[in-house]
Amino acid sequence: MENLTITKIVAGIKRKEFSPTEIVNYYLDKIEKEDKNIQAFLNVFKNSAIEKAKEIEKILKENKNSFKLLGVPIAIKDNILVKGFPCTAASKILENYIAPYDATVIKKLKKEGAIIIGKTNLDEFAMGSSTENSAFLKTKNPLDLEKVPGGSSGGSASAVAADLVPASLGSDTGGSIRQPAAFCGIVGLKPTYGAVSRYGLIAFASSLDQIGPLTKNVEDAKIIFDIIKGKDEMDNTSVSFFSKDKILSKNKIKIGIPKEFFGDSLDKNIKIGIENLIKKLEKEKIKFEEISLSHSKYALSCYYILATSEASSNLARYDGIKYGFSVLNDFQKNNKNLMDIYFESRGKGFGKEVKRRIMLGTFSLSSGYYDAYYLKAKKVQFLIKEDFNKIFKMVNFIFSPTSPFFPFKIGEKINNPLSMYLSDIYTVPVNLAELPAISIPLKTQTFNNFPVSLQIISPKFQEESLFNIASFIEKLENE
Amino acid sequence: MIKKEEINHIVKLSRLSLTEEEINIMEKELFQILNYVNLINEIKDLDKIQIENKKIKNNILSLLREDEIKDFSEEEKEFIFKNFPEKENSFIKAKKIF
Repeated sequence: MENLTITKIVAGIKRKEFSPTEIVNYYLDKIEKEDKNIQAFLNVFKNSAIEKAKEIEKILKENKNSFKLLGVPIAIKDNILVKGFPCTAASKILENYIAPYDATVIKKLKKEGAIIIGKTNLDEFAMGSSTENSAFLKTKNPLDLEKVPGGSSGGSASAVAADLVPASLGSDTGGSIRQPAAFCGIVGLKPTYGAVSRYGLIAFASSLDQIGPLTKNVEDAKIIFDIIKGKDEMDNTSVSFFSKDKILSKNKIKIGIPKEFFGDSLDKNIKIGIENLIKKLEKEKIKFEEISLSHSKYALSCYYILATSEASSNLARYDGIKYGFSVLNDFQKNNKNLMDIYFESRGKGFGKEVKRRIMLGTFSLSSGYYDAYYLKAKKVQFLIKEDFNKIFKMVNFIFSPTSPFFPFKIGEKINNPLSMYLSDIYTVPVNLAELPAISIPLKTQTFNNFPVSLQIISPKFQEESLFNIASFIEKLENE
Repeated sequence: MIKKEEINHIVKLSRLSLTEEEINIMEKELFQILNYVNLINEIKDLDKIQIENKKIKNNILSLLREDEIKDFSEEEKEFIFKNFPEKENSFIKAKKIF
């Protein structure tokens, strides 16, 4: 049963090659044996998964099988609420928090017969690029246990890459699905802003956050995306949309290569890998054109101002009063006041990176600095959007590396926040412009066991086109 | 670039209790990050860009809806109550404000 995909599991269950219970037990065993080394999971829902598998077997007997994920185990990043189970965001401040309701994406997955098998590790509140900022576990990269899995959806990526689960959900604010997918050699999709409901996603930067799938292939990413997308009355920023994508014949496709993304900061071997792919595609009559995203140089600065500003506001809700970690109990007997409860609960509950970002965001929004930072960054965001709008009048897609470098050693960057932030230079512009992008591994372009990953960016709501071209490349790479 | 008293002010606004040592590290790190972020100041004519307030306003107006009360289910309420750090029945207990 090794290396099953969603399609294979659904087909296998239909043909009675294996039962949902067998599938669930297979993955539960694997997690029990192998997750000691990987540490992808914060919580495994053993009993509820086994129960759910039994329920599904009943449905199967009644032969009402039109569910798209019947019996498929899926792992969920631990910043997405699953009713009745802990949801920690890998933060001490939420260590004992129980999710009161299902996120909309979870409702949708359950409706299609998916089995939620557990919750995966992440950088605390999804802030980070290595999953080392988790308050609980250090997740390893299955391709090399000395290396980080990327982040912030590092648990979701490593669980899929280690075949502990066929697919998972992550969230992406500045690259948090695509970069760990690239580091672990799997597929990750960051949908268009608004394509997927954020209801039940623990907020980091609400104008940039999106939920998306991490999978073994492009087909599975499409299956999950088609299930979780769409307007939700619980998220006012979600929209209903119909794919207006025209299927282009190969010789009509034009792809932009942003020169700014292939400069000195890019690892030489990654550059070679992408160039080799371009040569292959040119043989297939696909046209390439050098383009310029002239403001991309400022994207990371812009991102760290906007994202931290929103985070400082979003994380104000953790006050030690309503839920989560609180020093209220310790203080009952002495003379501390309400303000002390806020300060102490937050001071003890949040980790280093989260505090750093709350501080930076509070600074950018504070009186006297708002115009110089937040407002300016908003204007830069506008310029970055305009760059993309112009380019997409000339080309259908933009190709870039997903990450400027291959996975780094655990501990290598954790004490240098800025060098960690640079992991996301190619992914943050996409979030700032609200665009969709997919990261796929190039299996023929592998260095020291790590495949080079390609990021494909399209205009808004053209996920369908992204899947088409990504599938085409995937096939070419598998030949 | 940012003075010590400003850092202390931001710590207060952030509602974080930090040790003296943590504040010193934070000062260094914020300096380094702000130094990088200040790159945006080299963009010319940024001041001339007017983010179209009218468009933003219309977008927001199109998102507004009637304020309707939708109750949580009893089960959901139970979970919410369970998450209160300190409670009395279904009420949150906190320190007095004044």
